[in-house]
Amino acid sequence: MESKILFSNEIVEKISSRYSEDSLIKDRRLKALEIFHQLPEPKFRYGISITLDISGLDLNKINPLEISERDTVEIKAEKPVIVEDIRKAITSIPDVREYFMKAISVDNKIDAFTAAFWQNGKVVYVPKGTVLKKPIEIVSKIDSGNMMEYVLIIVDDSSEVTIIEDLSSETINTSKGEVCFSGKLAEIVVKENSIMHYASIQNLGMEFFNFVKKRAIVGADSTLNWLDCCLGSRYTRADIITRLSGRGSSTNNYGLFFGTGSQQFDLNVGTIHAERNTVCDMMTKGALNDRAKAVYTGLVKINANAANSNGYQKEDTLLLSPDAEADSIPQLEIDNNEVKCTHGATVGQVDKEKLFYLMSRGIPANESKKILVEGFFEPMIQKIAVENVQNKLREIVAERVVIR
Amino acid sequence: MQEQILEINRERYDHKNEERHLYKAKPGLNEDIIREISSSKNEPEWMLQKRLKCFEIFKKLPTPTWGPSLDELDLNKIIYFIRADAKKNSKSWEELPDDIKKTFERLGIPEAERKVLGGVGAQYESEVIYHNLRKDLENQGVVFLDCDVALQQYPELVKKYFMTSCVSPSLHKFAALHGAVWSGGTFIYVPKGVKVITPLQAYFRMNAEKMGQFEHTLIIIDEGAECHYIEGCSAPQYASSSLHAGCVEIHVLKNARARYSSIENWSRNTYNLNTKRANVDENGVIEWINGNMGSHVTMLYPTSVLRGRNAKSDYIGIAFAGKGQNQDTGTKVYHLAPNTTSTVKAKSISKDGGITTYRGLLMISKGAMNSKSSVNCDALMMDNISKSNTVPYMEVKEDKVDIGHEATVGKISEEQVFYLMSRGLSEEQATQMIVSGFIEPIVKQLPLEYAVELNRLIELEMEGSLG
Repeated sequence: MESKILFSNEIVEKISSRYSEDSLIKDRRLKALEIFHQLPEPKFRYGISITLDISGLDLNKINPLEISERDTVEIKAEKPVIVEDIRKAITSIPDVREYFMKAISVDNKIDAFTAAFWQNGKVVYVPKGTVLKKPIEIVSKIDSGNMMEYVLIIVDDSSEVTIIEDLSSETINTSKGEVCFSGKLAEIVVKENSIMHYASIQNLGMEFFNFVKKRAIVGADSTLNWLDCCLGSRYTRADIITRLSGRGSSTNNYGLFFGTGSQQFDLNVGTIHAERNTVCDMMTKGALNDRAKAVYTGLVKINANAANSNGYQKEDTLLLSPDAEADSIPQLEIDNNEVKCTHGATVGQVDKEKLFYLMSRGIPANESKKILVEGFFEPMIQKIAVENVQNKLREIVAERVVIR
Repeated sequence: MQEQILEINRERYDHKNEERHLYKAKPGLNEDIIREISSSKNEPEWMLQKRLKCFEIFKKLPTPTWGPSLDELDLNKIIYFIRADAKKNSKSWEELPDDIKKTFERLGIPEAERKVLGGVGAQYESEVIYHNLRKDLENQGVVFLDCDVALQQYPELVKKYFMTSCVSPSLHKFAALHGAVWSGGTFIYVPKGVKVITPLQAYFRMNAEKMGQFEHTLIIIDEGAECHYIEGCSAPQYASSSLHAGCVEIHVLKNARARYSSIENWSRNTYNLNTKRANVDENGVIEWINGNMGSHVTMLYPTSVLRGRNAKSDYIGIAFAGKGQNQDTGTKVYHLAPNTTSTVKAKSISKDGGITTYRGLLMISKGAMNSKSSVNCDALMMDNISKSNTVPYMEVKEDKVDIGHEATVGKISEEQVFYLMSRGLSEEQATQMIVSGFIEPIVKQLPLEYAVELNRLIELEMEGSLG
């Protein structure tokens, strides 16, 4: 009963008027809310035996009007990059109007909830011909309860930028195992002849249920390089799909996850080849310790018109504890024969021979294991050419490799 | 040219006999038909009850929606039981009516029996019309019977193993349907320690239009025994759809070894919704060799349940999808015990708009430590209108394991074609040679006459594929 009252159109109206939003934004919110009401409760079941536990998360307990209005997203960028609240940008930058909620289709209840009620909305606009050495930093530090945000990044023609996204939380005083919800929607548009590196590090506290949906459109001759690191939160759903919509576009989609305790990762990574001569390289590496659990669903889809495309998909998971659990579903959907497409997945333990070698050199077993796990992640960490980010990732990995 | 070749190619399968039957059920399914099937076979009461229970489950379960569309399959138009006008379980081909005998001769069964097989069963419509086992095997206690007959002669064994611990009727809708209307099929029991070296074979033939065939194959390989069983299937082409929902249950006991080969070449309007499953005990080995050439839609995922230590499963599969065909195949392996091993090699070829999908499941349950699995899928696409999908599920609940999955999708390498052409082959010959090489690892696992047939089938189907 309560939920019906709580999630009415009125709430959307209230949020919209609080920020004096453009009618376009309000319309999209209302549409998302409509979808939210239509969709069934989400099921976290795949295949035969894969189940994820989201008990404790109850959207009905979240009152969108009570979420702090405080801006938790800080974006640092050099000129001429424009960083703007979306409520302003939607009228001042024509592209924002065109691309707002274009790449994302709201197809599950939780994302619909975020799409209807997000509070912080940011736009990063990289004008034509911008080449920046210094990375653009997007830092979100959540310091109170639930949070929902929207980000739109547009990289115009012939530009090259690096974006570092850092999502973390202050230790929140949660009494009696209270949980928090973090919803994030991001849309990335890379227009023609551009390169974008996009590294994101999620290291939220264990009280968070974190739902991230990222959709990218890559234009002709452009490249989008992802490095998505899932490290924190009790439960993470990271749903990242790149659409190669321009001829000669490409994406390197790298991912890294490391779970300890009873963390759960639900990772969905995909590339849609919608034009000729497109290339994707998807590679996810993860390690699971304690009772951590990960489900990886990967998809390479090559449309019928996407001749001469290459797809590569790989997932490696290391199981560091007898109670860890890894499931993978790497899928291929190929509708054109002028292509090359391969995928692979492995699940296993630290290589016994390598371990034996290190131990034969006098390194204790635990230390050897630690070295091997660090070495396992190192190639992924080196994908992002920003030193302090690399060091930060190495630190987090080292922190977590406590072999029990 | 191509049309003509395809005609010749299917001729030996497409030949239809005039329909002569002693009994033919009305289309559609109801309790009366099930009671009629059961009483006409003089079945014990428990089997009738089992059938009726399966029918209840069938009515409750939904049609699967995760795979190829089954919308055009109208279960109310299918004829669930036909008894052909022929003596059951003849011991000699000469006792069969001429047209039926000729059908099987055309398929090469009697000839193969004389040459290489230890026993042959032949099913026509719903019931087995020929069954013979070599004397020496019979003397060793090997049982090779029509499943209907086995129910009469070995009720204890059948009751213990028939749709109990292996294929449960509630597994899916078509397993339940099978349980309700099953008829004919094969029953094999190989006693402890007996090694059957020459293969046993059964051939299943549908002749009537809108027919549904539901043969049940129950194989029990007792401790330390070995057996190789081959199954062939075909049906002529009609305008309306037919349905094949067979069920294969294999029980591989301790230290036993079973090899199951099948080449299914149903007509291109058959829905082939088959269930195959093996329970493998300690040190047991199951080998699946699975070829799917025909049918309109195939949904077939032979399953190995490795429940004893050191149990092993090897799966080799090939699927060919031409125009209007959707081959949705793969395998499921459940590693339930320590030190279990599985290998999967799946190859597929799609052509003229055909769709091939590898859909597989690999599950390593908690406690199945030191399990190893390797899955390889290769797909070859002959043209631009065909499709190929790969959907492997890997569910791993144990850390001391070694698991790998690999898949590739692509077309015939232009460089390879160029090389062969530079050696004097025509483009067509070169393509054929590459395709033959692609399927070679699977073909060489097949018994000789099947290998020859498969090669010829693929060769003919490939002919004319280049302008």
